[in-house]
Parts: sequence; C-alpha cells; structure tokens
Amino acid sequence: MAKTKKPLRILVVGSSWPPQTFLGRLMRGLSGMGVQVRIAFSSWPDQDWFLQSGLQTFKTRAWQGPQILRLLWVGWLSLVAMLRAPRAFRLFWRAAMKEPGLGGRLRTLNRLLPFAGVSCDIIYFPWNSAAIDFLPLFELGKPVLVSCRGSQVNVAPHHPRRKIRAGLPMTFAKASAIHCISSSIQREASRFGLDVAKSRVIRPGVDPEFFSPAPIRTNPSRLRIITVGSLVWVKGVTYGIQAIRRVVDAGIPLTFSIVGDGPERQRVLYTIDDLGLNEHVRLLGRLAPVAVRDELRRSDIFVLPSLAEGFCNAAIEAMGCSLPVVMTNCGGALEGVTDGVEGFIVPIWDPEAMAEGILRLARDPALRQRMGLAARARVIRDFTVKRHVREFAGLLEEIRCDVA
Amino acid sequence: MRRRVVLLVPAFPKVSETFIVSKFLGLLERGWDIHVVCNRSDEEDWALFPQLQAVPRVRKRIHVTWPAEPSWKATLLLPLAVLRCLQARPFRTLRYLWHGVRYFGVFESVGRLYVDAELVRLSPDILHIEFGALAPTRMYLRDLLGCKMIVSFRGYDVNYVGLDRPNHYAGVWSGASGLHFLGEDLWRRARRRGFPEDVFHVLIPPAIDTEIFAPRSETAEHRAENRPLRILSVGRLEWKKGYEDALLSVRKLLDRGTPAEYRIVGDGDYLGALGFARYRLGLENCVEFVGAVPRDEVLAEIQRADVFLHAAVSEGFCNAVLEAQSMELPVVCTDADGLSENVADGETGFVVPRREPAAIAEKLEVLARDPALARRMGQAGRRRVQERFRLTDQLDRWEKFYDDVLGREASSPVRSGPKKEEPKEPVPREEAVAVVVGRGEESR
Repeated sequence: MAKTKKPLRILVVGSSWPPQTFLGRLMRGLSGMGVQVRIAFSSWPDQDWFLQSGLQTFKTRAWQGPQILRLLWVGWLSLVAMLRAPRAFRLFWRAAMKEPGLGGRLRTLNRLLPFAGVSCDIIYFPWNSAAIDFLPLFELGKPVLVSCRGSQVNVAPHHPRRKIRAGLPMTFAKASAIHCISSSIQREASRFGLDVAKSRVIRPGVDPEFFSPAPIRTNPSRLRIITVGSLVWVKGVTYGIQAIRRVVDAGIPLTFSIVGDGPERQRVLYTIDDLGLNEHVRLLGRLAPVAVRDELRRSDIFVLPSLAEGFCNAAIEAMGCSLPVVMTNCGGALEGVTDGVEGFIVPIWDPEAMAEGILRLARDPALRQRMGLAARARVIRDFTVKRHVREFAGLLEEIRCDVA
Repeated sequence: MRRRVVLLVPAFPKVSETFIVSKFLGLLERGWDIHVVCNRSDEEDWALFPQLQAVPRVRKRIHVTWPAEPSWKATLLLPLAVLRCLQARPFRTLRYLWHGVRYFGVFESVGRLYVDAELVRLSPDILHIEFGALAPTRMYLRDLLGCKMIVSFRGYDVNYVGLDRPNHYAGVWSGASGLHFLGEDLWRRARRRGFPEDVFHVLIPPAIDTEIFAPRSETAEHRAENRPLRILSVGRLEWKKGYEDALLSVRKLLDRGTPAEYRIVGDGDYLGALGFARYRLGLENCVEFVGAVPRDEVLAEIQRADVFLHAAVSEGFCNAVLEAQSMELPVVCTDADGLSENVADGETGFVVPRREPAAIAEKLEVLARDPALARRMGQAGRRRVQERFRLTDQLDRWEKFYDDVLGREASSPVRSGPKKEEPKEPVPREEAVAVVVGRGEESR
C-alpha cells in the first residue's frame, strides 16, 4: 500500500558526525525501506559512508573560519532565504534577534537559515538537545518528530545549571510525536511535560546476524568478563571495577575487558591501579563494531554498571552474542533483561550486589550457558533492528497520515 | 633581597590553590625575591583574595605568559617577546637560545622562547614547578635557564597522570634538583611508580593560618536536640573527591533514621554527576550545591557545620580538611593518600576506607549521636593543626629546602645581580644528553 504513495522524505537535524552506531543503523534501515533520508551536517561527512548507505546529506556550515567569510555567508544565506521562503526567513530572523549580542544572533542565523524553504515531509530530531537548539524549525508547518534517547532526559535535566530542563517541555508541546526508546525514558520524560498519548515507545534493535555467538567457543582457564561503553561517569565503569575486585577476592581467576574510551580514562586507570587489578583488567580503548563483536564472542559474561541508560544497547549487542548479562537497574534495563532469565539485575552504585551476580554466573557454567541462550532468543524475539526500523517507519507514516 | 624563586603554576590566584597564595605571601614577607609565572590570572579570582591585593606592587610579581593561541597573534607577538628578553637579559636570552638550538633546533627554540619569555626575563635561581603533572614536558628549562629546578607532587600527579606510561616521570627525577611531596603516603606511591629511593626530596605537608581559620566563640553552644546533623564538604567538584560516595553515605545515614543536611562548597565539571546522584538518591531536600564562594563565606559555612566530610578516592593532603580541623570541626574522611596523615583517626575525626559509603555513614552516625564527642574531636583537631601544620613552620621548611637546593652544588651559577650575569660555565654536555635521552624514553 505504501508503495503507491510518494516516498516519505525526512530531514534529520542535529546528528553528529559520524552518527552513533545505532543511529546509523536506523537511518540505513529506513533508507532500505524506501524512505528518503537527508541528514543535516555542519561538517562535510565522509562520502563513502553515504555511497554505501544510500542516504543524502544536507549541508550546513559550522560557525568557524575567518570572520569576514562568516559574515558574507550569513548575508548570502539571508538573501537566498528571503527569496525562497520569506515567511521562514522572517521567523528565523525574529528568533535570532532574541539572542543577546551580535555574535549570538549571527550564529543563530547561520544555524537556522539553511532550513528556510527546505522540502521534506517530516523533520526528525534524534536528540532532545537538537530540538531545543533548532526550536524555530517547529514553526515551519511541517510535522516534527523528536527522540528521547537517554541522558538528555534522565540525566542532563538534573544538572543544577543546565538549561535543558526549560527546553524539554517546549519541544514536547510543539512536536507532532515523540519517540521514546524505552518506557523508562517515557516515564522520565513525562516528568518534564511529555504527553504520554503523543509518545510512542520503540526500543532499539541490533542485527542478530552480525551480533551472533562465535561458531566455536574456546574455554580458557580464566573467566572472561567484558563491558562496553564510553568512559564517562554515567557508565559507572569504576563501580564495575570495584565489583571485579570482589570477584577476584572470592578466588575466581578472571580477565575483565573494558572496551571504550572517554574523559574518565584517568579515573579508570587510577581505580584499576589503586585496587591492585593491573593483572586482571584490560583497557582496550575504542574499537570498531567488528572488533567489539569479536571481543564479545571471546567473553563469558557481559556486565553493565551504568548509573543511567535510556535503554541498554550495549547489553543487547552482547546478548546477541549469547552472553549472559549482569547489569544495573539503570532506566531501561528491566525492559531488555528479565532478572534471573537472561542475566541478573542489580541496584546501581552497588559493587557488592554486582559481584554477587557475577559470582553466581562464574560458579555455574551451566547457568551461564542457559542464560546466554535465553539472551540470544530474547534479542531475536524482541530486539532485532528489522523490527526497530519497521516500527519506526510505521510511526513516520502515521505522522504523515495524521497531518494529511 | 634574597634569591629569586619562581613558582610555575597554570593559574594564579585560584581559590582551590590558596596554599600557593599563602606560600607566596609568606616567603615574600621573609625577604625572598619570589615571583609567579602562570598562563592565566583572572580578575574575578583576584577579587576573592583581598590579602593579596593588600600587598603593594604585588602585581609586578605575577607574570602571565603571552597567549599561544590564536597562532597568528602569537606569531605577531613573537619578535616583540624576543626583543623584550634581549633587552632585559641579553646573556640569559642568548644562553637559552644556545642550548635551545641543541635541544630543539632553531625554529622550535625560538618558539619556546616566546612561551618561556617571562621565565627568561626573570632568570630565577630556582624554578619551582608546583604541580608534578606539568613537569615532564618542561625539564629542559633547567639547562636553558641555567637554574635549579624543584618539582612538587600533590596527589593526582603521582596517582594517575601518565599511569599507562612506565617512565612518565623519569626525566623529572633525573633532572630536578629536589622533589617535594605532600606526605609519606605520596612518597610511597611515587616509589611504587619507579621514583628512585635516593632522589633528593622533602616531605612538606600543607599548612594553614590558624589565626584566620579560628573558631568563633559562639560555636560552644550545644547542638539543639533533633536538629539535623549539618555535614559540610569543601573542594572542587571532581571525581577524585569522591562526592558520589559522600552522597551515598548521606542516603544511608538518613535511612538509619538520623536526620542530616549536607552542603557542598565548590564548583567543577562533576556537578552534573552529583546533580544526578542527588536526584536518584532522593536527596533534593537535604543536599545543597553551594558553588564556589569567597573565603569569608567558606569560613561561615565551616562555622555553621557540625562535621566535615571528605570522601576522596585520591587526595594529596587536603587543605580544606586542615582548615576544618583548625576551626574545631570533627572530620570524617577516607584513607586516600595523605588524609590519614592529616586526620588523627579516633582523635580529631574518623578515617575510613575509601569507596565505602557504609563506613562513612556509620561514623557520621556516631558523631550525630554524641555531640560531646564531636566537640572534643573538634578541639583536638585545632590543637593538632596548631602543633603540626603551622604556616610559619611550613615556611621555615620551604626556606630550608630552597637553601639546601641552592647550596647543594656549589659550582652552579649563582646570580648576584643583573649586572654581573653571564653564563659562567655551560651545562656539561653529558648531562644535557642524559636529559634528552630521558625525554625520549618518556615519549615512547
């Protein structure tokens, strides 16, 4: 039925370059279903990526370079916008004039004007912060979809000095629909004015063909535990390391691999050193998806010590590889893992409880295997990228129909 | 005027580094020709230090290096900087370039002269790098400036900077004339990281002015029954200060039925994490982030509090804990680095294992239940600070250390005045080569 219609055109605003793995997966999936996806970038992205994926780019300019060129560029943008879409131009102009100072005004114009007269069916903000930055785009008369993905809803608003708390209700009120990646995020967002009726929970997915168990599993003498995530405080890696200390103290020979990098690298290094775990922990840094998958395949248990997550993408990737998981009750966790079935759920900030969960799996290889199989079965049932893309495309279609 | 000492710091003055200000003022008063070279000196920060502004011509002693960014500006300023150096210290400048060319080649040595211009113009007898983390990339200054170098290690530098590179500090211990550590624990950790046993070093703990940090008489009043325990922390909001553990311990304390309010004075990047922890732990009504405030307000906060909490996971020594003790506040802190030397466990407060919120909560509860004990510990704290961490004692030790370093090698060039100065004897070649080798190792 959809094939008889014109292809749906969506414009993605506020994605970083390169897009996060899961966002890239979604975009390519949508494109594969015949949706025309244009992604706005302020830096010139790698062409190869787009040739492979069939996506289109929408070029904007980052606010940098010599001042005179920036000024000329804004002048040119204004001229084009005035001719192409005088209404949008007036709208953006008024929004920009609200900024204090000439610099801020020019920067806002530079950010907004490229979108004057843009042709698309739906504007999609993959991040709440992007929606707040581009608030005037809500007034263009096009339906807008915003995603609530995690920290911008369940962490950032609690920062005593960040303004996102004020911005969220505005975008929630103006958007045509809100996509939440978990019920937990939906609940958190409703604290900031989200109308639940307008929102839809679509949980992320992974490709179970790619994240699949190793064909042959080796069984070395040491237990191999792994976690994947950037080294930022919200991932709670140091609590995982504290749990590992307890597991080692319980007499389990093990290796703990940490995949990821980030601003807290020094904290992680210090914690490993201070707890005397240099022999047991491998800090692998950031790895490409294939390398991550290979590390997962070489592991026995996945742990996720996060303090807050929107869902738990890293965990479902590991579950796809048939790993049992021990994870904290950090937001969406319970929607991905049933405690005692695919792994264990423990409270956040609780190395003791996490160590207990790991120990139960460590001492019982049969349990590990059973939970690993259950984990993969769960991913295939509930969290495939195919299902994710299908539901997302359905949501887009609904939005278009609503407007029509 | 006595010998010229230059303190190298990233920014001056800074609230979180008040000890540099105290040391600067103290040594100045004692007749040392002391200067500070920094990259930044913000007016807002000056406003927080009336004691500094009270000193006549103090600004002449604070030297802000010229900007390295944007590069076009630096390029334009470079000839001017070189001319200023040549005009102020012609021989020293030539010496710098002479050695610099051997180290770095022509272009880079001129570039570095721009960055180091203030140091060349000052031509110190002692260059004291106040933060060990800055030292590995600056040890070449010893030969280029022809001065003694001293490096201070204050905690994080030994604990985790360059931890994944085994020889990170090799150039520092081989090149410096003296090293300074805040305490025994740090020196132990340094040896664990390969610092040789026989390197010339001193352990000088921080000190504070017990006159300024004195309790006001009203504190003698009893804590009213049922009033929540007032817990206070002062320090930058960073992960190493362990505020997450502190918040967890306050949660546990409340769960045990002891009412409490917790105020955190200080600012930093970790505010987001703490805001989240406060929300998740349901502590919005009893935890307040006060932000960075001037010293008078810090004093008022300490005055108001019943107990000082410091849940650090890594901490050199912690002046704030000293200040709290000096104001008769009992302390609950972890055993991170120097803290166990700072607080006498069971006497001026409690020292508990780091990363153990439950242990902290337990001790907080003890103090909440027993106000008399809290008061006794507070008083013991002040006595201990007065005996062991007096500013005058610390200044004596700095003076002795500097004298020792200057006297250690009699053959070194001694600056007696601007007129006489000339590079009397170049640094022996082998030594220079040794340092270059050290640098090579470090970069590997």
